[in-house]
Amino acid sequence: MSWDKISKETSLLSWKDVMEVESYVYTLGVDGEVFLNGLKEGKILGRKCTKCGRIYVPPRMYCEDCFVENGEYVEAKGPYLDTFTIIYEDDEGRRLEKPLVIGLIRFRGCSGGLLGSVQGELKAGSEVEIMEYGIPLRVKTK
Amino acid sequence: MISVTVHPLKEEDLKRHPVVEDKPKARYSYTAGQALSVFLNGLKEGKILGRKCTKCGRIYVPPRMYCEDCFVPTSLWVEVKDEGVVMTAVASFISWTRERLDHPEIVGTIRLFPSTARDYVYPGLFHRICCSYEDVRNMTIFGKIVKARWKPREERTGSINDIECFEVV
Amino acid sequence: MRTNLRFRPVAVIGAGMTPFRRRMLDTPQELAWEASRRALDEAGLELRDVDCVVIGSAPDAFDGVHMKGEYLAHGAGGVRKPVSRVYVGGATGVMTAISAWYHVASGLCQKVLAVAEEKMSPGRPHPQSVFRYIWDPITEKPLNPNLIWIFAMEMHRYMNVNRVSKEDIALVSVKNKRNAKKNQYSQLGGDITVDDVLKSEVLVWPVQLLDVSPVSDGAAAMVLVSGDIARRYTDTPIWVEGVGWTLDNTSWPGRELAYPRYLENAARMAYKMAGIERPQKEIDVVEPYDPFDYKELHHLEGLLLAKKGEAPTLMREGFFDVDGEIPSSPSGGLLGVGNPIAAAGLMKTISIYWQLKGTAGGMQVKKSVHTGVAQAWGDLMQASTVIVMRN
Repeated sequence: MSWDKISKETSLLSWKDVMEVESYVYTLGVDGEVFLNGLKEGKILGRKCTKCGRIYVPPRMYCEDCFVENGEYVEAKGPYLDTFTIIYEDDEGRRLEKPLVIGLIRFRGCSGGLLGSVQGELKAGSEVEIMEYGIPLRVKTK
Repeated sequence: MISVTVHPLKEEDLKRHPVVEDKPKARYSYTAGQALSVFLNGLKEGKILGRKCTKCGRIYVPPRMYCEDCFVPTSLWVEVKDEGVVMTAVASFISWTRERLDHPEIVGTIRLFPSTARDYVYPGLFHRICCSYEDVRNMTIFGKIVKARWKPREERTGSINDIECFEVV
Repeated sequence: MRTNLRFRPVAVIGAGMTPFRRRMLDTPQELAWEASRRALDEAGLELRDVDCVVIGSAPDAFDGVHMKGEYLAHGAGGVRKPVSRVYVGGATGVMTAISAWYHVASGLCQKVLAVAEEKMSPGRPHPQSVFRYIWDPITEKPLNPNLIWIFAMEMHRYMNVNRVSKEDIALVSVKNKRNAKKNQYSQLGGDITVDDVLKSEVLVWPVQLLDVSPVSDGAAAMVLVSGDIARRYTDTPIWVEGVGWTLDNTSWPGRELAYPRYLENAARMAYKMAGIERPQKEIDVVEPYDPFDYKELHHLEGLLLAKKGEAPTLMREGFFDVDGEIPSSPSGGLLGVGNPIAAAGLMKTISIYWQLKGTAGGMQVKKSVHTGVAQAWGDLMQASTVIVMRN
């Protein structure tokens, strides 16, 4: 029995390879498609639970607590900036030309929220106006 | 009671639904570690190296620095013969991306010597076998003694592909 | 001879699943929710009654989502509850049930929801390409293998050592697809003949297209509760009497492939717990894992329901048919119903549960059943899980 190990790092080899999947194609589910169509019409849709009344944004098929199928689709109103962050580097560490501001936009009386790029004066809690209905949203503080 | 149902789709239907497509960008550098580094260098020299546990006598190919049964470090480097018996062989008509191949690719596992036909575990390699499709179909390749056909020395890079295939002697 | 006196008794009181199909529009969480909802409905419970959740889901790389088990949380009732994820490749389905079992058997939880889900359709170019990293990166991947190669190698070795012909093996595919006709959740139920199997596309000789189970999306769920409250919810609780699981190494090129020793180990563990001394005499119905037709024979031998090399003979004699001595895969198995990796094993467990309860509908076997076994297998010829249930 022996512990003969090579301690010179350069004598140890490594093998290079890549992630073999070429791409993933994710389906949105029925509620995901309803949400996307809502965005095209300039609306943010949510879905309400028939038992507890909770409104899910983006809409979800079922309520995670009551565990029943959710009911009608409602339009989420009253967007406000819950929190935000300022990003200076991209995901490979390179400096961005112009810092990017990303915020979490919540809606009055609804559960959940959406990400958006934020323009205007940055203050957590301030109401926002939605400039572009996309993923992510583009909003401006009022 | 539940009323929703799931929604199966055919491939053509997928075009009519909005989807999100994404490509992962992961690249990996796997360390060969102690045992496989020596193994790969051995392949470059035209040798198949194994590692022996002196407690139970088992020879590991590909080599391992510890014995999985005795759970102690293995002790010796041994060179096993580049000859062995074909345990199983198959002929593939599909590539790893599920594309159709015109000529079958024949691969299998080889039990290398020293070992006997009664061993449940033995030094073995998974590799290509150079024989005909017929030999695979009628199973005549099973149990035959095969030897490694090495690539010429200049073309060896320290990889399992330094062996071109195993062929009947 | 029972040896499980230290564990609390555990009973299954509800189960549910989605149909298995090649690709679904629904998201993974929606699939999990549908199966979970059905299971809770059959059990007569609401989510707030469940105290622990177990989620089984196979490689994250299939769905393309990190921590795929936890991702299902809100669809599997796993919000603000203790949740465990299990993953042992294809053996996950039965492992999910086993994990739920020990949550209850230990006394930690009273009522557990076990959910298994898989969505294999997002990967491109083909879900099989996702399997590429199952191989050892240095000694196996450079040969550009396709996953089917390893099954073909094992199948050919099994055929060679036991002198089995392709015709005998094809009988399994014919039987399972025929059984699947009675299963409303199945993807590929139908009547095929041995000839159809032998004429189908040769993928990797000896594996042909009709020898293989399909790629699928789907989910399944089960509710397990402590024995002392089971009869509040049902007159026919189905008791989990034995569990077993074993792992082997990934050095399959250095191992005899014709016999799965790791499965025998798991089966003996489960049988000992259940007090089964003569499996062939004491087991009434079995669901062995059948991603390929030869695998069912391979596993029937590992489960000690046939002597080594004897399974093909018994299959030919009709011993394992739906009206035979020990019906095997009455649900139609993976070959008939579909193979969403993690959900498939749990589907098999649910099939035994329904057989023992007498609610299997068109799939119900004619003889009366008292003891049933479900088994799953996973990874590179490594892992096997076994569960024994009685009514």
